[in-house]
Amino acid sequence: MNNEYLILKNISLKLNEFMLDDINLSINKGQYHILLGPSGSGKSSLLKSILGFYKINNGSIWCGDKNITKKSPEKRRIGYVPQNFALFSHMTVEENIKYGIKMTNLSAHESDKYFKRLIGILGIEHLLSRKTHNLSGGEKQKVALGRALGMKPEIILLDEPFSAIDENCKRILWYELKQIMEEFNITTLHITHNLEEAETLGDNLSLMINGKIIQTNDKINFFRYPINEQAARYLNYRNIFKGKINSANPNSIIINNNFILQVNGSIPNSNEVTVCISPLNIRIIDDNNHSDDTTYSNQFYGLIVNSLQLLEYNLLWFRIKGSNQQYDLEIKCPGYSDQLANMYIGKKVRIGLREPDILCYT
Amino acid sequence: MNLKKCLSIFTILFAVIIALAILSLFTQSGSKGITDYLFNEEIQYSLMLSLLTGCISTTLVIITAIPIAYFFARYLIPGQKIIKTILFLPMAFPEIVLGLCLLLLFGHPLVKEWLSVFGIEITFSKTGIVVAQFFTALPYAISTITTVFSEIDLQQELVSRSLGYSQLNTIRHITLPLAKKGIAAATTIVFARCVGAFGSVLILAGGSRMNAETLPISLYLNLSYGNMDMAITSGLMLVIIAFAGLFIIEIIEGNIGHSITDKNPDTRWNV
Repeated sequence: MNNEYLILKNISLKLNEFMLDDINLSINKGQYHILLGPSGSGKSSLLKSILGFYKINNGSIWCGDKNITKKSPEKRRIGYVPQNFALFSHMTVEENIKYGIKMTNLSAHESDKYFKRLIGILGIEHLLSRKTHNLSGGEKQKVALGRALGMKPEIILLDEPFSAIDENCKRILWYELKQIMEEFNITTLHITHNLEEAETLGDNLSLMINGKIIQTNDKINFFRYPINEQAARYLNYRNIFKGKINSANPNSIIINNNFILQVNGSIPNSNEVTVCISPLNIRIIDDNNHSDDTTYSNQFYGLIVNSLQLLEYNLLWFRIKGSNQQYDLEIKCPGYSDQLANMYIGKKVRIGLREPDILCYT
Repeated sequence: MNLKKCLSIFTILFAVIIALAILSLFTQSGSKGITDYLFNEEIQYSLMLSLLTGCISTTLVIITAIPIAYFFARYLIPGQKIIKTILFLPMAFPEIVLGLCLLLLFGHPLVKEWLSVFGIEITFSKTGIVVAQFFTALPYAISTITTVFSEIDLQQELVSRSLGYSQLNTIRHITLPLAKKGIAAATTIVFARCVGAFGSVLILAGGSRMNAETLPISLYLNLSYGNMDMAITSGLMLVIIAFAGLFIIEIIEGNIGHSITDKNPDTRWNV
């Protein structure tokens, strides 16, 4: 059964110098879809096109089996939470939420019941009589969400809803937002440039760069297999090299004439390739654990040339033995790793890389 | 002397000059005193005429300015800059020229004849006062209200429309309530501008005694006849109306005492 609910077909939009180019996307009913991309990539413009605030030049927008391309914004029935929440400052929290409910076909009794359910799920009963200007970021977000849910939309579009929220509060709000969307079974398109937020919330994800959606996948494959070098760069693959196929062994690539990587079965048919490795996929091999010897077909000796301790993880910069580079690889280690206690600058270590974690592009 | 002191003295100096000029109106009033002239038939007539025409023209100006200002704040069409320049032109040239232009337009036989079908006589009539005040104050209203609409976050309108409200309903429920204070302030400015309109009213409505005699015209006529006390009383009436207008704006904008911006340390030098 075809379960696609929000469908974008070949959408093009020209806005002064900027252009959305041949956008195709389909989101299943009740699915939480993340649209990821750098600032200025066109995410918000796409959202506004779906809402009907921009008139697209080509293509069509479908809501289930209804073509809504030519409908005015008020007839599309798509909920919208903008980046700054845009709460109505002349109204109280209660009035903001009831503003949307008024546009439903519910009777007075049903409206009241729905309003109570909504504020109960959002946990904002204590804010009802407050004006919106002195609410916290998290409270504003919940009111904006409540207002959008008020008109009982089938689809909701969230434009960077966590950008104005304190780092400390974000994670609990991610969890709450996902729960609320599941409770109402609403098809959600959420745009963000935050990789962690995207990974936590998204069932499926798309990556938009320079007005084009270049990749759409489920969560696991999205981060594990970027479609090209551009996607890999955006998804934090910090080790990116130009390399040449080793004529002596076609299953290996020579990087910067410094070291050779074994990449069985994934080498494109080209002399020169781009190799991308995530800092998360490089392991420091424990000399006492001999199982690592067989797991990692690429192993290198070298030394730690620099390190940076961050709150939740540590970055290490590693130079391969005999290399003339300042450093060759960036490694991201979890903050709790026991090994890190001994990772001082100048320490000699052995690192390992699995073949499937080495991505090659022409 | 630091910059703060220099600028304080410079600003206060000009405030004192203006205050002295205004005070001289009070000190120069003749032996009978202002209160006696307040009940003079001519002053009463011109005060009532000014307030009545001022109210009518202010209402018409605001009703006209709101849609035009919304258009300027929210839409862009080819040639918009030219349209805007034309509408704002009366702010840049002398009122007396505006009066002459209006006289030539509404005094043209074809226009006069067409208006007479509806029983409207604009030149040298009380209706002319309203028309002159309307065109004098309209650009100020458009300019002020355009700024008010531009400062309202368009996202709020977008959200309202996504919630199922049409554009007109969105303007009614969201834009206008948010612009309420700004429109009220603009109304006060426009009223003061209408009551104070002189050149355009003189040329279009004629400025005849006890007919088209608004307060500025009364001041002018009495000054011409050497009746200084009456002229000063008219002037005082205009100052009081202007003062009341500005004071109302201050109340509307919450600027009595210190505003929020005044209290924000990040908007001022604190050293």
